[in-house]
Amino acid sequence: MNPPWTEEADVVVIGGGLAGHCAALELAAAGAEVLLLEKEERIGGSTVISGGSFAFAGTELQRRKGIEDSSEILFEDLRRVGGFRNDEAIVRAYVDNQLDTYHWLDSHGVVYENIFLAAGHSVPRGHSRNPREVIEILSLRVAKTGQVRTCVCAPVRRLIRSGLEGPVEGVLADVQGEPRAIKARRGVILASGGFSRNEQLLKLFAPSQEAAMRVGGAGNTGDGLVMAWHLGAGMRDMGHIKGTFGGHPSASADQHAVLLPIYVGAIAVNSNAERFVDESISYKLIGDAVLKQPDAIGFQIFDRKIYEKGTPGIPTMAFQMKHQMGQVVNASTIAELAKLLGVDPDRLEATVARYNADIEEGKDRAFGRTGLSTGYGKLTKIDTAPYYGYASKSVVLATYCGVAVDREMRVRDVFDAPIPNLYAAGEVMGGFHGSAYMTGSALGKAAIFGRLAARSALGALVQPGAGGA
Amino acid sequence: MSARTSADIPREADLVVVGGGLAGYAAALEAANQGGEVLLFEKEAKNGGATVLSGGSFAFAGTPLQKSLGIEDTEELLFDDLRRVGGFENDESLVRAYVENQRDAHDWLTQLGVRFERIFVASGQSVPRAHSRNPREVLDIVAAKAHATGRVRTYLSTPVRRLLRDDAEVYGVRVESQGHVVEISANKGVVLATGGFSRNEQLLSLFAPGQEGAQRMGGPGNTGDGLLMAWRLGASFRDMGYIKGTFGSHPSAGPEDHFILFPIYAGAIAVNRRAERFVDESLSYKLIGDACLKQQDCIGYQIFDQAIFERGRPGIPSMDFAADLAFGRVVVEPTLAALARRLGLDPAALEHSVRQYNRCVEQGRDEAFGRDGLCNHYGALIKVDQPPFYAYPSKSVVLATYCGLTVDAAMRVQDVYGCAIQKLYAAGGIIGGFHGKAYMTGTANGKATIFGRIAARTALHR
Repeated sequence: MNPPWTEEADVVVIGGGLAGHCAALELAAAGAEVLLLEKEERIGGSTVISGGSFAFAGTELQRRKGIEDSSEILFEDLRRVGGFRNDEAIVRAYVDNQLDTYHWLDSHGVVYENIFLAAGHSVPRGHSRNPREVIEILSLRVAKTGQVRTCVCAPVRRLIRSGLEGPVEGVLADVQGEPRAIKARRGVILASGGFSRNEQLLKLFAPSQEAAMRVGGAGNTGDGLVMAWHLGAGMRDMGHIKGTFGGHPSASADQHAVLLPIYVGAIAVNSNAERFVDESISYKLIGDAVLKQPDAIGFQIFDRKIYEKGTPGIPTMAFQMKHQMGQVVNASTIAELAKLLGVDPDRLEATVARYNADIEEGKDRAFGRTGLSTGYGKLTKIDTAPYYGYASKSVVLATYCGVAVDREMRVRDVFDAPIPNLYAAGEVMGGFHGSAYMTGSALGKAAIFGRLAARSALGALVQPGAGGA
Repeated sequence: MSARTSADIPREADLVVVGGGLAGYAAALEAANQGGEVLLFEKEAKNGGATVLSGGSFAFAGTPLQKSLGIEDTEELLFDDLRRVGGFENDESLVRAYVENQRDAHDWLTQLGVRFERIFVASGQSVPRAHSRNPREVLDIVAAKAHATGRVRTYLSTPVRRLLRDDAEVYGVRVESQGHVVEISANKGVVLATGGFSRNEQLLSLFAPGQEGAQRMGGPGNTGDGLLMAWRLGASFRDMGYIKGTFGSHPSAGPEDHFILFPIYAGAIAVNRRAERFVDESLSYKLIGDACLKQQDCIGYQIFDQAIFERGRPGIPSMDFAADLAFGRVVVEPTLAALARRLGLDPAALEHSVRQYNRCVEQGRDEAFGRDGLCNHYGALIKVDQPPFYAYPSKSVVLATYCGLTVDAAMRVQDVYGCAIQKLYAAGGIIGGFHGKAYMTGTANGKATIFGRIAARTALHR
């Protein structure tokens, strides 16, 4: 039944974001011949529109800044943030390989500009770097190996499997408009991202997120999920799809528009100028909360002190840039700010005054907020002019769920049998996040699991007829 | 009864039907009536599946029984109701298939000997159209007729483990019988009628983690076997995100108890632990189920009076208030305050909530939640003011999953790329796309009958 192969490679990697590049580089370093297929006209996927942070723990950079962190703290944070719904084996795979991947990226020239505290971190561990630069560095490294052929405008249409139980043997793809049948001697790695740009899949799994905005790489239409599903792949975490709080209502779908002054001290109010949530919890949970507010909109309110804690270059903390874009607005009084945002001035004054009074007494009576982010960081009053406001909606930035894999990134079918020679890494896979998401773990898992998938493929011998019982 | 449990299973049939609930037997009988030899495999030791645990009502429109009671109903009205209840997220072609075949299915059941005993109005129905009959009796009638054809054999305690497919089509099943694995060829195909997955915690937590606080119900076999087997072949899904519990289940209910009661649809109000109303009680019980999950301890209390109690309908499980009183699940006290104390609620708060509601009824407007009827805009509201007073503690329960495999209007299972998986059909609780956002009472049994027959006809006439 196999089509005549038009070409072949040791491994076909589907998707040219961070996971795909890390997989390709790892494979090439071991001497494998790789074909990297990217559907869009440019490589980069969702990576290049991400916040650009990597969740690593126990790094030199942390140590230099006096931040104590370890793989064990990271493990506990990941499990807790995921509500213990994440797959312990996959979380363990992340934690066991994260420091090695930090060093590996470092050896390829990926150095970080900063470390910051963000959602789900009990200590600052968001290692940040402009994500477009990361992709550029890695794609140059990949090119340098001479082992990887990268094709853009090359959507993969189908996986080719030998029979109902046999290994995946290759793919059908359109490479610059030409239909190709590509044999993959050692397997196929799905690194095609999530499906935040596929309305049909979002409606199927997460109809309650209809009022949320959508952001994500233009190619994030779930191609890899659907291809693996067609072969009976299992799924994980589909019911946990949630928007992320902090998207500006004017942002377009390919802009990473999430800004999170709440995590350096801002409060969030609804259009009645009332707080509605503990602002230090996961931005996914705040996303859920904002969907229930009138018009599904909130406003992050902060002052000059908090504004000055912004960090240029970290998209989620780039207050100044968003101010220049006109998305962050300011005024000399709370009442003036309220008018700019279209909320009731008296009520906003009252809300801020109540919050400030609570901080003074050391207790947030309304929502029990105890820190800037997940209990960490001291709350500060909002009392120094000028005052700033940022309208915020919930955005489905990424889907954080997908195909079932084991700790070696082998795709598992619905009966938990491996689909031989099929691997997945990055946003296409499920099971890692569970019920919520830690900042930096999307890029972290792309890099870590991309490499793991590559190593599994390198170790795989084609075994015709092996597999499901 | 021609049910067998032995391992002497023929290795070949025209049609293999997986699952011995109403959809499976409707498919089997229809196939047999058209000359097909059918093997029906039921995983459990008894047939009946989720059907026999159901409320026993069928949503049919324009029937002689409705006419004899002066109820005007039509297929177009049923169609509009179904689409609206489903939030227009249901597949129009499946709704159309239901509507166009429902009258024929009604007559078919009637001719088999199913006598519908009464009609009542229930969730999602703009006129009374829930035709009710003890569901075990219905199932037994259809199964007996199927076996009487001599062309249907049922194997109990015989789970189907896998579908067999070659490059072109599904050609059979692998069953497990008394410890042996047996492969059976199905010349005309396989009908999956295995029901939903309300008894599979893993699938529920995958697709509906928000329903964790709800009870689970359904046939013990409702573990999604058919869904998984078809998924293994790349079948597509519909409506997975709409899984919701149903309000009205008594907290004491175990997974096979059907302790669901709807005094709200006869006029009761629903309050939470703080004795406050929390929802428009005339909404779909699935939407009320969602609202209930957000209340303290995920519990509500249906509160009613003597006048509403007397509107109960003996023999209709979900409206038989007297029966539940006899079992002690409905509680009664001479005053609202005493009722509140019995339930552990604040007496003053309950009295206040009821007083406020009665004032709304008097003024003709429910200011709190906009309730404008007993059920889905139908039926005038009445005050809760005639002692003694009654209460039914109620939780949300995932009764059925109402989502599943994508099928076309001929019940052919579709893969993720929209292509039919050749010779694979599905009907009943296993399919998705029919309900959309919410569920109309009587459509689970209705679709089992209607779509089971369609699946069999498609398979035999392919």
